[in-house]
Amino acid sequence: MISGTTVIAVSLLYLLVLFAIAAIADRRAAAGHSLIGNAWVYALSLAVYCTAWTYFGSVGRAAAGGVWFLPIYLGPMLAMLVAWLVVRKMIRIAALYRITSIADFIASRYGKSPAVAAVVTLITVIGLLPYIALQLKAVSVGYDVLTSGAARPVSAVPVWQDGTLAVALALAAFTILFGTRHLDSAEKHEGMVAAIAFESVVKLCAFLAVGLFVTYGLFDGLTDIWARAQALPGINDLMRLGPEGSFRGPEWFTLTALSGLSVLMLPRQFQVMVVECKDERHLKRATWVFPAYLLAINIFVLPLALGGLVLFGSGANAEAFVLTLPLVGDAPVLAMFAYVGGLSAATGMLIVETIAISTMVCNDLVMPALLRHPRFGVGAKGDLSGLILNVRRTAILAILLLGYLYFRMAGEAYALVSIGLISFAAVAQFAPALLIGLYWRGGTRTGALGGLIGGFLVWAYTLMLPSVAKSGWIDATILTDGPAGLTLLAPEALLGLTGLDPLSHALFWSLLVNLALYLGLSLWRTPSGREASQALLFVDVFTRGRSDGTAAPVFWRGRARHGDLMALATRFLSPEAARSLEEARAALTGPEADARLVDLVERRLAGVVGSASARVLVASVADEAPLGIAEVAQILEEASQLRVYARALEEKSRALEEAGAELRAANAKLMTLDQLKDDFVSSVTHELRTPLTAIRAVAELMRDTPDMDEEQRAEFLAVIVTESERLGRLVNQVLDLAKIESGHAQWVITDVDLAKLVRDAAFSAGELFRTRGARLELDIPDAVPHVRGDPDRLTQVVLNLLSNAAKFVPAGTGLARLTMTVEPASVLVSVTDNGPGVALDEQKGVFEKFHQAGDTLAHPGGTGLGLPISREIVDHHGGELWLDSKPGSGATFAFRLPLPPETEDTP
Amino acid sequence: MTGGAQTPPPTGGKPRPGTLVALFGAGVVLFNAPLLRIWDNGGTVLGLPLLPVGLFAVWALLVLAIALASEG
Repeated sequence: MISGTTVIAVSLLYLLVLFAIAAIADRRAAAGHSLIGNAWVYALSLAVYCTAWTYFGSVGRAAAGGVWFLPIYLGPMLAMLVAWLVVRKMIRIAALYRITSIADFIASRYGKSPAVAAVVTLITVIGLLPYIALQLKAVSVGYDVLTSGAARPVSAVPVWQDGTLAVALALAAFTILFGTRHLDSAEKHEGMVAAIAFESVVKLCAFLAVGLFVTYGLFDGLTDIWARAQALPGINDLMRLGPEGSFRGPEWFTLTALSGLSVLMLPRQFQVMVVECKDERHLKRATWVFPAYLLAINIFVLPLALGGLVLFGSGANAEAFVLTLPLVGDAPVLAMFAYVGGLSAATGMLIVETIAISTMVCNDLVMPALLRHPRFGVGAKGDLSGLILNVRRTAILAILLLGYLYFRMAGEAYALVSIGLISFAAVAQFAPALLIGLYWRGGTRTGALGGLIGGFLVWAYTLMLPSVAKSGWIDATILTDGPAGLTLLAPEALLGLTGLDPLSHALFWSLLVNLALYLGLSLWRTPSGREASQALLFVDVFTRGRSDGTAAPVFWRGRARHGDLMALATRFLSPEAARSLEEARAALTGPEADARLVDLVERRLAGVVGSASARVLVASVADEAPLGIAEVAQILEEASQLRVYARALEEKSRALEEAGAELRAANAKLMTLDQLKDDFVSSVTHELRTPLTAIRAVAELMRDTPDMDEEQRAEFLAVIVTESERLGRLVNQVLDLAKIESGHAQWVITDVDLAKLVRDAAFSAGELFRTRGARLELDIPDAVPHVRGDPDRLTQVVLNLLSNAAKFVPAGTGLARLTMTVEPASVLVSVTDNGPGVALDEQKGVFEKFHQAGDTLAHPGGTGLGLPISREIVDHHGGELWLDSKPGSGATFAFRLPLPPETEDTP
Repeated sequence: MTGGAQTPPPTGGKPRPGTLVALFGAGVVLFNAPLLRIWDNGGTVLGLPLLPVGLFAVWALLVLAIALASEG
């Protein structure tokens, strides 16, 4: 046992640490160093899902129902798998329209309806107040177990001595201090979130510490616990879905679905997950860290439950095993730590839930009533910001005190034990209106109201009423006989539906009624203008608005008096917020300025009083034209027109850019061509000059030497003839190329026996090789199909390739190989030499005019036009000519000519 | 309604929506009857009851998968 003073002192110390962390985080945020702008902190804050009901209750559930505690955590795992799709959309919408609670969110979706907001708030308060009481009970029972070994009845402790009340009041102080710091609830509660993340770490560490202590301290590992638990009666059924032969699949599914919906719909989850989200990218981390957290905190639940059953027997209070096991293991410090863990689980839930509910109560229940009052209402003057903060503070205190009252009254009742799932089922009623409303534009205010109220009433009748009856507060015969003996209306067997467990039964009926009313009423009437416009803003949040570069359309028509709007804003906004609003107003121009200003003021006010109240306030000071479905369509049309213009403009500029690029490319090509032409002219003149110079030199020599002997004269004349021939050849080739290129060449196309043609060409080129002491090998098949072509031109190509090879093979050891291969639809002719090859960077250039491989001086004798002409000729025949060469190991010039299509030629 | 060419896809980049929906579907099927009854046969693995071990194993795999899909 631990003395009460110690427990109180440690609890107090823990709460002080919470205050300190929150204060530090708030101060850091004010200094611009946010602690919560971090994906890990965000992910940990989501673990506020694990309350005292998890911390103590899971072990209790596991001791009674075995694996059946698990679906409560498998549901969130499944929900987080699609959180990036669903929750991110909620985060984006909430950030854009300064939405601060789940009631505000749903109401805003359905035309900013105050009625919807009020209904959601009422459901939340009724559904969650017992859950708050449950947390306080956990704190109280934990204290009793630590100090006296067993829980005492609540009524045994006078209120003024009750430490639980002190805890409730301390939490109220914390929540007021760190939860109402900003007038605008859309501002982040940095201190609170930091404290919640810290609490998540504490409860996880405490639970794991107890789990490790029991598993490896009191027992000898997991298998030892299981082996010793075998002695317990019915233990094997605990590790199964149910006794042999029973099928409880629907119940398992119900629990999974229920918890999966709750993790999105519980006001505290909405608060930390959506409202307090600083950056939607943090969600990526949270989608796996949060389920991993749940996995970790649940690993030791079964070992603790079984260990407790083994050591204490099945009659013991299993919900206290987390505390009693360390106590019996003589580890009071660990027991104390375990209690702090439970305290952190309870306080975390209480703080966030209270902030969330107080915002809803203030904005959606109290403010609408106040604004109707002439003293505060739309006509009145005076600053209301102080009043709003005080309403919120009062709401926080009231919620916690009501929770405490409930705990004092309900005490040991059944109503408290089973409340966790009953609360889940209450908030699950939000799911149709919220989730379907995110994706379906057709949902209307009437549908949402009908679904929420219908589902809630069925929930109250099928779940709340039985729990009240089982607590003994009303006659329990209603469960079996139904009201006034109408067994068809029995709450747990409605219309005679039996065979389901009470929770599945209630969830089935309530969600069925909810969905049917929501869909039915929505389809019955078309949405009004306001509903349709809000539906558009929600459903298309990713495609409209900032992300596509144009502002979202503002669905508002009328005239706004700027002075009145600004006066309204200053009554509700803090001075800084009002100043930034004034700056934004000054920047507004154009025909849409009125609508934009109304939108701006309304969003700022929404952060303070909720979107429904903000709508009422703004409507009261602006001359609004009624917004019908036709106006919505028209505004949408204008917005899309604007978008069309913007897109057209963008396309034009892109087209211009493309045209510019094309022009630049064409210019560059022209410049290259011009350069080529210059090069060509200078190459031609150069080539012409060399033989001319030789001829002139020899001729001058002969003129100046009249007495030259006959032999010398003959030699000189031979030089003149040779050089003249070279000149003539050059001129012919230039003309030839020009003719081919311009398409004026004469082609004599006949059937050509390519094998014979190549052999003849090789024969005439033989002399070239012999003079260089080189060999030419032929590899030509006997039968080669004829091709269509100009025989003279093709001979020219083969000769050119051979003479090239002859020129480049090394003298004495040169070897060239001429190969002809018949392919299915073409004939391949290649000439391979063992010369130096062509350098990689020159390979492209060899087909250019006047290009001569290597150093021009080193290989005289060519005109540099042979290969370009050859390529033109082969191209003209529909073939291709190319070069394969590795520098240093010879070159292969090859060309391929297509065979004529096989028709009448082949017999 | 008319998503423009320049409009970034609503859920562009990682994680891909298709992957998430597929994981969700797999999770729903694996965590529910009738597949759950495969584990639910009263057997043991490494001296521990099969059903809870199987559930935790599937859970851990799903966490790993979503972690890889989101941040991998």
